[in-house]
Amino acid sequence: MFGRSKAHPAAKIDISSLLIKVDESREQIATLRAERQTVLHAPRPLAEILAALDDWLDDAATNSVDRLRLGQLTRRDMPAGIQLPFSVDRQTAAIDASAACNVLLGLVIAVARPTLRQIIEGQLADMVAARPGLTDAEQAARLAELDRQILTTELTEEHCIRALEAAGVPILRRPDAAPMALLATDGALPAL
Amino acid sequence: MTSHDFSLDQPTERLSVDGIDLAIASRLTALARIRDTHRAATRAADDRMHHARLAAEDVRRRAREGLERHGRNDPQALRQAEELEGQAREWDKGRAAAQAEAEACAASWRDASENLKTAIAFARDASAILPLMLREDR
Repeated sequence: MFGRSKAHPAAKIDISSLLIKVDESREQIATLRAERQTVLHAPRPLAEILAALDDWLDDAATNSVDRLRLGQLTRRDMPAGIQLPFSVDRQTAAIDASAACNVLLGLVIAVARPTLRQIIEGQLADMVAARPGLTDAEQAARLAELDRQILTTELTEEHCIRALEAAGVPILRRPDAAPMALLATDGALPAL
Repeated sequence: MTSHDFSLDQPTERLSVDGIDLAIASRLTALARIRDTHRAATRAADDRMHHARLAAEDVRRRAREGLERHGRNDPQALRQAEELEGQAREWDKGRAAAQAEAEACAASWRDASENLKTAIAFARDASAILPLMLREDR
């Protein structure tokens, strides 16, 4: 089971080199995994964020004007002013001002949208400057490439471990070793 | 006479996943063997630890009995008690060494078990048929 792979010609086993290669592989795996986490948590590109923000600003302004129920101002039996939507909890008598706050925010957007947007865009640009944004497609492609590199390195690590085991030097595998590497045929492992 | 087709129970030897050839049965068997080796080493170290503890207790008991029998002022009894205490301390060292070894072996056993568990779960997800001795492992 731990004999020389038929796919790789017999070679003098250099224990020391194999041990070094195991350590190097493990460092590489740790580095790639850290990079993967960075990519996983990468922000969206600024352009995408602002496009989504513009859609939200449109909806917030429109909805707030709708909530004012301005049609009531045309009625002779209704007060002439604008009323914000407050509600009262019937059980606790607590006043819920959340709807009113949302309407106010929508009116601020309607009145001062360019200034507000400029402020938000400036803040977001500073935030994403240090962390490049990725589109969904870019993120997926980068993650797939990193996963491929991680697996290749794990397969190399596994080859070294099996070679060491065959030479009578048992090496503990990482408990989080990839199952594909653990189960790979000897021939599927990259040449050392 | 009805012939029974046991092909469904035959462990999966080879499988290809994402272009990588997997030797399911033989690799799972190898990983199980590694796990069992570490388990046996852990139990052997546990046994040595237990044996050393019992031996130290026995030696100290003999020392106490000697002193009780001959009196605590008897020079020969005192000498023998000191000698036995020295032996007990050697057994204590042996117990500590065995305990450290048992802890290391237990960690190896845990890691090897985790490797096997991960591999079995992967093989199951790939609809592989496991070797009979591993079908109860999870």
